[in-house]
Amino acid sequence: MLKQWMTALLDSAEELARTSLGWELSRPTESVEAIPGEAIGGCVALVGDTTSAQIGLIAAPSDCQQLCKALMAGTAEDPDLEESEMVDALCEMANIMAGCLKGRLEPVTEPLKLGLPLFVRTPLRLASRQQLELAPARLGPVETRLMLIHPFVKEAK
Amino acid sequence: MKILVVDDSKTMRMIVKRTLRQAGFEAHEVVEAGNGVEALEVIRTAAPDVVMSDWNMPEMNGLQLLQKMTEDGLRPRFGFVTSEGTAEMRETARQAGAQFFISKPFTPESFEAQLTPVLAGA
Repeated sequence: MLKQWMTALLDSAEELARTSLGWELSRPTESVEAIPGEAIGGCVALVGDTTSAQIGLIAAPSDCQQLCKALMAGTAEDPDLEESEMVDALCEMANIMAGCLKGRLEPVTEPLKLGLPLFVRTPLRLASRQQLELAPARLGPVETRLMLIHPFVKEAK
Repeated sequence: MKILVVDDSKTMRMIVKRTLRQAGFEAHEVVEAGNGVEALEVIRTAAPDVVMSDWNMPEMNGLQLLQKMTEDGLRPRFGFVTSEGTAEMRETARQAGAQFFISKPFTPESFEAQLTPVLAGA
């Protein structure tokens, strides 16, 4: 289950990068920090009758500026967005990824409903039953961490 | 022709407007609303020809907006621009009276393909 979600999450981020940002997604081959110092981002809940998870994307604030400018068809040289604009854009990126993820998972899972997107900031505080999975992903020039907060039991390796 | 874009995200409303221009619909006037409640007010006062609405929004979602429009006899052409793209939701939208369904992430090409027949008939 966890592997299916993480694969679908990466595929969804790739679709976001290609379609909405005009970038490619790549996976860093070098080792990276789990969470890069201070990070912000957006996440969305996907809820079914027996499943509840949250997916999202976080990055350093300066990198989020670049992501959000790309979403709005701007360039890195454009003036920085105000915080409210960045919050809105990060939430919308999480929303787009969640919709893609839902479309990829529903053929093999129960029907899922999307929640409204939330802005998040590190340190993330999880409830005792939740686990956090992070996948480093480079969207164009921007280092991000894709995020899955889930209650799934990890499969034995 | 007047197009109403309904989305709780200001960023997404801006992206939808930009994509409309890129798809060749720059001659149309675009008005905006941030949720279903605001959209109903704009529909009554500005009389748009076409409504492009998100599905998941606070206060009144897109499906509730469409149902309320039908109840109240408001007749602009209506479609969804949403991250909810499953076959079941498309069917729910179609049965409620939606005339087009555009999934996020979208492209100017998907806007053109979906909206050209709708705008031609409006």
